[in-house]
Amino acid sequence: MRKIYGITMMKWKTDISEGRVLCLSCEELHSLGDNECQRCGAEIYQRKPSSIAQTWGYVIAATLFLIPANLMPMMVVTSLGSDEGSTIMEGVIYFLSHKDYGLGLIIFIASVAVPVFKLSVVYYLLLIVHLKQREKALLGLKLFHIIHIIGKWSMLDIFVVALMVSMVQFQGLATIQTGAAAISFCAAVIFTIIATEKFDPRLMFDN
Amino acid sequence: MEQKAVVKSKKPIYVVWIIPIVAMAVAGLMIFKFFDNKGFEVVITFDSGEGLTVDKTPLVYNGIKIGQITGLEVNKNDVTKVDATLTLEKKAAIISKRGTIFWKVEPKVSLTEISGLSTILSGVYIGVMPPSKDKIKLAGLPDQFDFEAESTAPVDAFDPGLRFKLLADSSDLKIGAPVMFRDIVVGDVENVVLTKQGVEYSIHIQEKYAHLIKEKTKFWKISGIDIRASLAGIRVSMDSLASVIAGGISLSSPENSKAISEGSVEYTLYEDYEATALADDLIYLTSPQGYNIDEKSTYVYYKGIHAGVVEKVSYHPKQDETTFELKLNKDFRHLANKDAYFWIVEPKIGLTKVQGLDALARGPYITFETHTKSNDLINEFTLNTAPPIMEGLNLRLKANQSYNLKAGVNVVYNDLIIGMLTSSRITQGGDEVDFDIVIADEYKHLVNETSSFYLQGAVEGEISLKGMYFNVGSLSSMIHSGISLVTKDVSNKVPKSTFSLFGSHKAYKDKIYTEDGGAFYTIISKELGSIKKDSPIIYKGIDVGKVMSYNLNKKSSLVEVDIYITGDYKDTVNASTKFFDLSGFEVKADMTGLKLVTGSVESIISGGISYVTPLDFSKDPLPDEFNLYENSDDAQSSYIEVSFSSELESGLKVGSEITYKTITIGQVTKVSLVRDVLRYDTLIQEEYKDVLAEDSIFWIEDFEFNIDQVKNPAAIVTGAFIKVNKGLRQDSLSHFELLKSAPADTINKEGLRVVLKGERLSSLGVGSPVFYRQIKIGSIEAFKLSTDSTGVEMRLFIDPEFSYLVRRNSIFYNATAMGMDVSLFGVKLSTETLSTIIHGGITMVVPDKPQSLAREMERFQLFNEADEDWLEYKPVIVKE
Repeated sequence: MRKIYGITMMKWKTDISEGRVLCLSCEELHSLGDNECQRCGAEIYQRKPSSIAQTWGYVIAATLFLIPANLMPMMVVTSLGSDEGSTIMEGVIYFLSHKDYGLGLIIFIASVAVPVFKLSVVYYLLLIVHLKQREKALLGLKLFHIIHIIGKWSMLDIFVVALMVSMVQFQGLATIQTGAAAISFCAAVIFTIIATEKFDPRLMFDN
Repeated sequence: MEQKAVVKSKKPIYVVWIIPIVAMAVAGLMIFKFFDNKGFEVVITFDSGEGLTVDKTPLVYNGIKIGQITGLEVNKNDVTKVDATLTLEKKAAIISKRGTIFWKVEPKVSLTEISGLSTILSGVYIGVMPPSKDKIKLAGLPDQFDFEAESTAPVDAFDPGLRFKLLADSSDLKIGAPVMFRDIVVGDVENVVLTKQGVEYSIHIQEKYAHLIKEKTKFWKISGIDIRASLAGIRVSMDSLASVIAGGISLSSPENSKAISEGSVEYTLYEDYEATALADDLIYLTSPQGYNIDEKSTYVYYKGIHAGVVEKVSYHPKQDETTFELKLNKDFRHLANKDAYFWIVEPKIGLTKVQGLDALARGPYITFETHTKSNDLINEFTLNTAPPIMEGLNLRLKANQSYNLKAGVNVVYNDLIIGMLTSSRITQGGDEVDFDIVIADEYKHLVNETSSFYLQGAVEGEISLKGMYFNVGSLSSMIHSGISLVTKDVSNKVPKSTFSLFGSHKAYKDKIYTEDGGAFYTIISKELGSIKKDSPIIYKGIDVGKVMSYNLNKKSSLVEVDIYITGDYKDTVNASTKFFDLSGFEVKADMTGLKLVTGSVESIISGGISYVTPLDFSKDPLPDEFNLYENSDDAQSSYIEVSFSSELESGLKVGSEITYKTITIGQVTKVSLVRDVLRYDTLIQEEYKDVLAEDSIFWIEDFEFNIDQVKNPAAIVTGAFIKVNKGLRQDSLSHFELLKSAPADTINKEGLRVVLKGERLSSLGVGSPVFYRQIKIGSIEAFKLSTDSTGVEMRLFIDPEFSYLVRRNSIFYNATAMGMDVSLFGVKLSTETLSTIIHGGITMVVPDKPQSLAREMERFQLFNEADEDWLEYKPVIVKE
């Protein structure tokens, strides 16, 4: 029955429907109605508390921070007295125009595609829950796992900038400094990760 | 039941919305700040957009970036121009006012300017200068957002300093040309303006150098490279590189002139440094001919000294005359009085000589002279073709050839022309040439019986090992040959009217060399070696004479060398003098290094003779001839033959030295074996024959290394040597026995000697000290087994200074042993001195009631240990 995909008004078997509740702390199985974990003593919640609201909060914050992250310069290259800031997209275009497709692609994926994709997925998951699109729940779960896996690469651009800043410090000749975008990019990435963390994927299967 | 969710509290749901609100605020602020700083835009119109790049080319004020180009497009009205949109940072908005000047800074390398080199790497940038320095004043000016860019950087009017004008005839200096003082750039040309009179330069002098500009300051152009060629040489002088390219102005700062305060003063810019010294008025010379005289490059001389320059040459067809306009130096202007006589000196090219070299270099020149000191200066003269006829002392010179001398040749004394050759003719006999010369009256006193005349060639030279020798005559003697006068003693009043004329300076010098009261000597030698004619005679490193000639005496088959010692050094030769050959090298090697003894380089190659005179005041008659020794050592001493025998094998070999108190006094010349005993034949310098006393002791010293000392490290290199301790007796010997090792230092010294008899030697030995109250008063000089073999007998030497301490009841004990007291408080180690542990030593004590003085060779007992009572003795012994 779980393998069948695309049938409207799908009904999933859930912990609630089975009358069970899982301790979020130690994963001990309890009967519905238990308030305290018998094993670890933690409070028992059926779902992550206020999961949807918190996810919304963090995802919106991440989205807001992504705007200055892309508008402002990521790093400022000072070479021979004149400083030049470049935003993420400018950097990507720079590499592509210099036929450095590999590097350009990596930066584009890590700094633009992945954060946007992650945010889109979180929005999509939230919509699945809100619109009770239960037949999309399985797809949603897959996407949720994917963003979990790629989440650990989202700071790649920050690492690139950090490396450049520490390596290119030739006083007078060329120095690189972090731009204002670096901080908001960091914030965007962190808020995205927290948003993902706060989301309880089981909500998508609830009737 | 199914739908029942566990909901604890709704509160966190609202709290969580704080996060996006804060995020919105922060991100919004960041964006606002970023775009707020973008400032505003101004449009600048450039003649060319070359080098300008959108989003890259910065606007730089005082070295900091305050904006950048954000747009470039072709000007709507004039398609040859370019409009650049500049986005200024907000904080720099104040700069965009009416009167603000923008210009493009790009690398510029041209003949007149090198600038903006920094932009080669950083790229072109736009410079800006606001109309005022004052911020309040600046704020009051109306805003402006459209500008026309200037083509060049404006004059930095805010730069403090001194500004004034320089007037000149031509404008070969460009804006930016440096103003230099002693090769330091003190200012620059800010502007060039054409005026009715000529060209007016605006000069800016940096504030710190403003004090250099005085009322009497002179300015002249420097062209960077100045080349002046004449027969006297070529002089190339170069100023700074900038002035080579752009030209420049140099200035003088006379100390006794007042500094000017403000730039209301106008100065004249002279063409060159010489021009600053020229008098202002012109002198006109008229002549029927032009003589190839060039403007500005033909000079005027007064008595051979540069005195002016020809400024202008003009030909007047009507009169068929040429007028030369001269300018004389201020110092010479007063000489051009009504009695002045100007004439032209032209190179004469004859069949026998090429004299056009000078003409090629600079052409003819004008010279003048005056006999009076009249102050009646005039400006118009006639240019004569020949020098004025001279009156004065007539002399006759004789020579055996004419040397191509012609009438008019100068007679010079110390490069000053004092007379001239009036005629020359061959004598009746036909083998001599007579020259008649006239010496000007004022120089008559220079000629007397000590005078000599020689022919002054243009350049006469000789290159030898002594160096290069050049005798260069004056400029005019280069054109014509000249006759030089030399007078040894000007105060001599004895007149003479006929002289011989030497063919060259060298011929003259050779002639006078032997006329200085020196002396000739003859030296005989087995062979000539590298000695040649003219080889130097060196005395104490000073060149005192030379070899005049040499010849082989066929009878004796010895070489006789005739030498001449100059008058100053004649006295250094007397009967005791010994001459030696200085040629070649002498190598001395010892621990202190390798020493190469040579004469001068010249004497190595061309041979040389030196000499020593040991007895300065020898009154003995000089010998007819001197012997030539092979080297300085041979010359300086003679030797006594002494032989030594030794049964020991040692490092001595032929060449080993014999030393006395560190001085080498002789050498081993032969080593042989006589009846199985080594025999060394040596030579000892005569002056040290005292060391051969009957009781002298000779021993072999060699490198020795043991626990307490390193002896004779030098012997590692030089090998073993013989040392001597001089005896006191009068009689001398010529054969000695060599000892194996050094005797005690005290041998042959005066002092008290006593004999100690001990049970055994223990660690004592020759040299072991004898102490009295821990003061060393003597040492062991020798020891031997007693005749009955029951003990050891040691001979002590007591220093005469302390001999009064040794009494007949003195007690001697061996101080080598250490005492050790072990008590509750530790261990106490007692010994006489630290060195006695190693060397051993003897301590003497005297009982409280000292007896009479010990006699020479008095015998004492040596105790092995001290009795404690002895240490308590405190006798009073007073030195008499």
